[in-house]
Amino acid sequence: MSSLGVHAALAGRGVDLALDVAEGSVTALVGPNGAGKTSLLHLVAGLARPTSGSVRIADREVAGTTWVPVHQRRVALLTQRPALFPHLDVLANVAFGPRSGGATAADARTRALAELDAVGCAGLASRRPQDLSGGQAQRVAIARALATDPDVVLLDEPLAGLDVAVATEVRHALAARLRGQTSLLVTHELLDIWTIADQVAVLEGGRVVESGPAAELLARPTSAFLGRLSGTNLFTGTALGDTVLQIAPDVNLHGLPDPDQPLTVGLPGLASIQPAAVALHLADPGGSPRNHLAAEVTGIEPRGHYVRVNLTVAGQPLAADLTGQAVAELALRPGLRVLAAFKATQVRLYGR
Amino acid sequence: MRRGVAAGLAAGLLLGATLLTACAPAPSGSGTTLVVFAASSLNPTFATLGREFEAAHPGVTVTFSFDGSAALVDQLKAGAPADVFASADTANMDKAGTAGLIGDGPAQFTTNSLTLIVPRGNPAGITGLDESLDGRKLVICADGVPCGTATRKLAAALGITLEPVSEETKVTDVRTKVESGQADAGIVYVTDARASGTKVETLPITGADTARNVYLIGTVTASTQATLAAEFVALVTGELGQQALKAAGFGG
Amino acid sequence: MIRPPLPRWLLLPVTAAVVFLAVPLVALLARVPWMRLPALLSAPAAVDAFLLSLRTCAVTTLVCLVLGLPLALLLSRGTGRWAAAGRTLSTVPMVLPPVVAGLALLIALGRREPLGGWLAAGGIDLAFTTTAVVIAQTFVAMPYLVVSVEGALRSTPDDYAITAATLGASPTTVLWRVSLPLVAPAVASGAALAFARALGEFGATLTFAGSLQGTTRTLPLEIYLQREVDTDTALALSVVLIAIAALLVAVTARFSRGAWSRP
Repeated sequence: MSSLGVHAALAGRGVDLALDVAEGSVTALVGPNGAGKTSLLHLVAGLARPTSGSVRIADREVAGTTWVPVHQRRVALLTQRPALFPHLDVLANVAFGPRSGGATAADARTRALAELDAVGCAGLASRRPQDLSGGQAQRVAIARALATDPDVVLLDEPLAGLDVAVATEVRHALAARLRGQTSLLVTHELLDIWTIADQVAVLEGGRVVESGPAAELLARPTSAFLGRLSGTNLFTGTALGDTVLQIAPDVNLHGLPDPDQPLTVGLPGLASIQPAAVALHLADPGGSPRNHLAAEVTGIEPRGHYVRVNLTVAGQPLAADLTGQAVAELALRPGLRVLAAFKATQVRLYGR
Repeated sequence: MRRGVAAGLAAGLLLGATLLTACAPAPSGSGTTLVVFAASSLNPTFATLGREFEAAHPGVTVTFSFDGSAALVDQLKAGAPADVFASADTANMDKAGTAGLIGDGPAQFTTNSLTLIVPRGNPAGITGLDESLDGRKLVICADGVPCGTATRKLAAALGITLEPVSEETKVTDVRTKVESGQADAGIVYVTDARASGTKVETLPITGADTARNVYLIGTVTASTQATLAAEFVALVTGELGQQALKAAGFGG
Repeated sequence: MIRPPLPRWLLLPVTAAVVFLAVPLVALLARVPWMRLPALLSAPAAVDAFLLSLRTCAVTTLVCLVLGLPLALLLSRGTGRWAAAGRTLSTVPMVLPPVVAGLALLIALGRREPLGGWLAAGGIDLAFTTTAVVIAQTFVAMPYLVVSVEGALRSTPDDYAITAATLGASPTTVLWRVSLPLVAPAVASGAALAFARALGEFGATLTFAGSLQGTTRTLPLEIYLQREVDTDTALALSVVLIAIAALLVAVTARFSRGAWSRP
């Protein structure tokens, strides 16, 4: 059963989207700026009216032949800005939704405290929004959004404004709170997909060009998907130890575990390597790098001051950034077999 | 650099000063300017006389400041440059005289008496200072200003009580309220009734002469043009002036 | 942080500006008969004028809130020609010479004019009533509230109202619990400005409402009258007006400083 169905166009913006989301699924929306990700959220929230087609939430048509205004749609919206009401304290902010929904003051308060507790912010109940850090504010915003029992949660790059350490914290809070909650998550971050989403939809030019389970796309990323993820190499596999990920039979990656998301032996894991950290050799150079992978060149793209070399490793794509001089010295060409080497300290390993 | 800034500032100040001066009335050619402070009710009669004066005195420009007599005395006290002062009552001329502002012997040059006016067509059917005013909107001058003082003196003399809906500071404000029909009736000077022309109808008050305002004119002691000032006073008190005043309704 | 200093020569025009603004006020205060102030201000005419001013200005401020807030809300959302026209219309009385405002009111609502005549026929005679004073004051004061609140609404990010709506708040709830509280400081300062403007209203009242002690003769009209009759009383009442104006300006400044900081 589909919990969310968008089959709608916004003629003026060149947007024509088709997406069905199963109940309880968190779908990551990826795509370049202007691809229609935010338009999709607006169509669902009721902030944009489709010029044709319809939008259904929990099997109720909210746009199309009928029009349900924002406040009757039971959607929650989280953006980069927490937008906590500055004239209300934290508790009143979170209780705002239940109160608007008709709950008594006491019930709304109880619910708000529970939601704050669930994101680890119970101690902030009497604070003013102005006195919160960015991460605290975003967690309170999560509590506020979920206090209304929304049918769909819409997230528009909710972690984009936070620095890395804080984003990690909030990411975990989100992952925990969104489990089983039908959601759409606009993001450019691989980690968000890995940690929070179970489905991915790739948008381009106002259309959904690809969609499927997140695990599959991470294991066998298509170019459309990869192209959207800020050029990070990633490998999925099974954890053999704290610092070892098996990405194919007899192909192991050594790396450093992410302190917040360590690997668990026998469970899936994800590895990421920056293309600039990958060195290519014609013969085994020996030396210190822990990782030496047999690779085949599939393409060479000059990019100004460096050259992006595309390769395959154990059936998964790998990108390496080299100087033009190095490419010439190695006489790299498509079909050439090489060794890709990188230090274990350049590989980040994430458990789930 | 610093000098440049200072020069710029100086130039700016100079320019400002020039503009200010440009706003002031420019003295005409070789000539001189005679400044006359006169009670509001003397406009426009005095303005006409001013033009006659200019015609008779080539090179002389007469400028007027028409305002309430009390306000004019305040301005004179504050050192406003004037050559002639004409007051609509004795009280204010006395005030100016006591302050030493007026040369000897201000002359009484005319009088003004009160009358009742109603809007054209007399929509409220007023017949005079009688019961036809009951429940109607009567506007008079406030106590303390010359026309208000006169109005109260008249009411006392006639033994009647007035119940106005508004007591205006200026007699012209009474007049305009009757002209526009906001008020059903108003008590103003005969000269105001005359100036309103056909916009109002005049209902003469019997016994109005018991509360006449006496108009006085005198030269200002601080005047630098005593001769010209005296000549202007002579014009007003002379035959030409008296005729003009009479035509405007003064002397009643 | 130390900001780069302003050039020193600015002190020259600044001194000129301060002198320019301060001299008239200081001169007036120097002339006030302070010893006789209590006696002058407790005269019945003065007390009546003061109370009438407070009463009418309070009602005016209330009317400005009731009518001006919805207008400000609508204008803040408006774009295009109609909104521009509405904005012009709601600011013009602000810059209109008072006498012109009075004349306009008189022509619109005068007893002999179509609209005023129609009202009079219906038993509503505004001429020379306290209601006329309130109308005159509202006409000139409402723009201050509208402009102040509309500006604040425009600079409030949309996402507060959007978020409130997604949380299930109806448009009415969003208005009362989010949009208006967010601009509360601007509403307060706008109301204070409107009160101040109403307090100073003179020309329109004089032209439109008349001048009768206790009914239509507000503080400025009493000052205008006393200037002709007794300068000392006029000065004493001026002190009262200056004091109230200073107080209101201070209140306004306090509220604009206390605006919600945005997280």
